[in-house]
Amino acid sequence: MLPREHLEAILKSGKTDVVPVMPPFQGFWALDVAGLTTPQSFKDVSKTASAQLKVLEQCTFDGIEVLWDWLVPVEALGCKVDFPEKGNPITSENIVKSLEDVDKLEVPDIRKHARTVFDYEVAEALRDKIGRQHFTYITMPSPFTLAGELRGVESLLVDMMLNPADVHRLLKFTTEVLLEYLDLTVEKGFEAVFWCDPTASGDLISPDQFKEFSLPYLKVLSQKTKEKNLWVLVHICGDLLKGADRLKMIQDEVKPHLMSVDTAVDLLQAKQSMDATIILGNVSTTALLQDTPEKVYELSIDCVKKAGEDRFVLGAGCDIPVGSPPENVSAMIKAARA
Amino acid sequence: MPSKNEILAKLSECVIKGDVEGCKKWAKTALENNIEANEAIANGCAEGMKIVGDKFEKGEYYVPHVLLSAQAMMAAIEILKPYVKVEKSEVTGTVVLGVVEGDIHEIGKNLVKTMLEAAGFKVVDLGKDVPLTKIVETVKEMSPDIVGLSALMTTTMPNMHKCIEMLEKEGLRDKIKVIIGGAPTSREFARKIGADGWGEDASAAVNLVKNLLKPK
Repeated sequence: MLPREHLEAILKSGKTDVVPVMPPFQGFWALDVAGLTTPQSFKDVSKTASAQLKVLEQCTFDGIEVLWDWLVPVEALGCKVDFPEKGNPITSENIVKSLEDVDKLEVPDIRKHARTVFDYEVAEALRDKIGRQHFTYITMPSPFTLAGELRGVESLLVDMMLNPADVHRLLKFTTEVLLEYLDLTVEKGFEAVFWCDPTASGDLISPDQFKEFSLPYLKVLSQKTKEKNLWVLVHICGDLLKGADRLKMIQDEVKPHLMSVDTAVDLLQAKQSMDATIILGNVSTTALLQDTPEKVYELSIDCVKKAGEDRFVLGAGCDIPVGSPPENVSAMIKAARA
Repeated sequence: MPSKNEILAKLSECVIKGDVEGCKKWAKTALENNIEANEAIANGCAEGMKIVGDKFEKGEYYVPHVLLSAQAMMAAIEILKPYVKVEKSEVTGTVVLGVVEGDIHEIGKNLVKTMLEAAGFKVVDLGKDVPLTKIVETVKEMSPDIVGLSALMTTTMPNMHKCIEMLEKEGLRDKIKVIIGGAPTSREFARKIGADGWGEDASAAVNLVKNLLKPK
C-alpha cells in the first residue's frame, strides 16, 4: 500500500492496517532542517520545494502540508508582516485599528498577490512530485484566527465582549477572504485543506464564545470545502475538553473528516467525544524539541495505545517546533510502524 | 448618599463585571465622598481584580473577561491616580516581566502584570520578544526582587533556560528569584531549568510572587 492509501483508507472507512502518520505541520521546521531561512524560502520555488522533499526522505510521513505559509492571507489583506529567520512570518501591524475600519475592508485579488502565487506554485510543485505516493494538504487559518491577526488578538477578545456585532461583521469578511483561498485551492486541484484555529484555543476563550465566534464560520468553510469534494481537516489548540466538550460541538457543527488535537487533550476522551471523526494527535511538541528519540518513541507508542488503531492518525500536538532534531521526528514515525 | 463601604463594593463590582463606565463613575464618587484614592484602589479595584483572578482560576472566567475587567480597573485607577498619596503606596516588591526573545505572544504576560499591580507590586514590563541581554541588563540596573519570564511557543521556551544561565554568569542569579509561565511550560520544566517557581496562570503567578517574597 502507498502511504497515501493508508490515509485514504482511514478517511473513508476509519480503518487501516497501519497507523498513518502526519506531522501535521512540518513546513517551517523542514525548511530550517534543510538550511533555508524563512526569507530565502520565498525566492525560488524549486529550492523551497526541494527543501521539503529532502526532509521527507528521512521522515517518511504518509501525508504532509504542501502549503505551510498559512498566514499568507494576512499580507494579502495589507497588514505589514515581519519575516524572521526561522518560523512563521509575524503580523507586525493590524489593519483593523478601530472597528469602523471593518467596513473599509475589501476582499483582495489573491491571484495577484505575489506571496500567495508563490506559495501555491511551491505547493503544486510538491504535489506533482510526491502527490501520487503521499497525501498532501493546504494549511489555512480559520476566520476567527484571521480576524485576530487583522485586529490584534487582545483587541479582538475585548471586542467580543463589548461589540459582538462588529466582530461578526469582521468574521463574515474573513470568511469571504478564506473562501477565495478555498476557490484557488480547488482550482489548483488540491485534495484537502487543514483549517487551523489556534486563537480559538480552549485556554483562551470560553465555550460560549467559541460557539458564537469560531464555530459558525468554521462550519461555513467546512461545508464549502466538502461541497468541492475536498477533505476537511481541522486543528484547534488548547484543551478542548476542559469546562465543556468542545470536540463534540465541533463534530456536531463543523463535521470535519479529521480533527487534530493538542497535547493537552486526552486522546481516549477525544475519540469518545468525536465518535464519527478521525483524530490526529498528539505527541508533545516540547518532547520533539527537547527530548531524545527514545522518549519521543515512548510517547508516540503511548498515543497509539491510548487512541487505539481505528480512526487514529499519529502526529504532533501542533507544529513540529523549528529546531527539533530529525531523529526525534522520525522516532514518531518508527513508533507508528512498530 | 452611599456609604464608604457601598462605594468600595460598587467599584469592586464594576471591575468584576468589566464595566468601564461604572468604574469611572464610582471612582469619581469615591473622591467626592473623601475616600482616599489609595483605599479606593486597594479595597475597591484590587479587591475586584482578586475576585476576577479567582474566577479565572476556577474556569468561570476566560481571558476575554479578565482583559475587560483589567480595562475597567485601569479606567478607575486613571481617575484615582492623581490623588494617590505617595508615602502610603507601599510597594511590596518589584517584578520585572518579559516575553522572551523570539516570542510575540504577550496576553498571558499582560494578565500577570495587571494582577500583580492590582496586588500592590511594582511591575517593570519589558514587553514581548525581549532580547535576553536586555533582561540581564534590567536586573543589573534595577535590582528587582523577581524576574518573570513568559513564552507561548515550544521553540522559545529554551530561551528561558538561556536567560537563567546568563544571569548566573553575571553573578546575578542569587540576588533574585526567577519565575516562569506560559502554555507549554510546566512545573517540571521550571525545575529542570533552575527557575524558582512556575505559575499555571496569572492568579497562580500572584500567589507565587507573594510566597517567594514572604519574609522567612
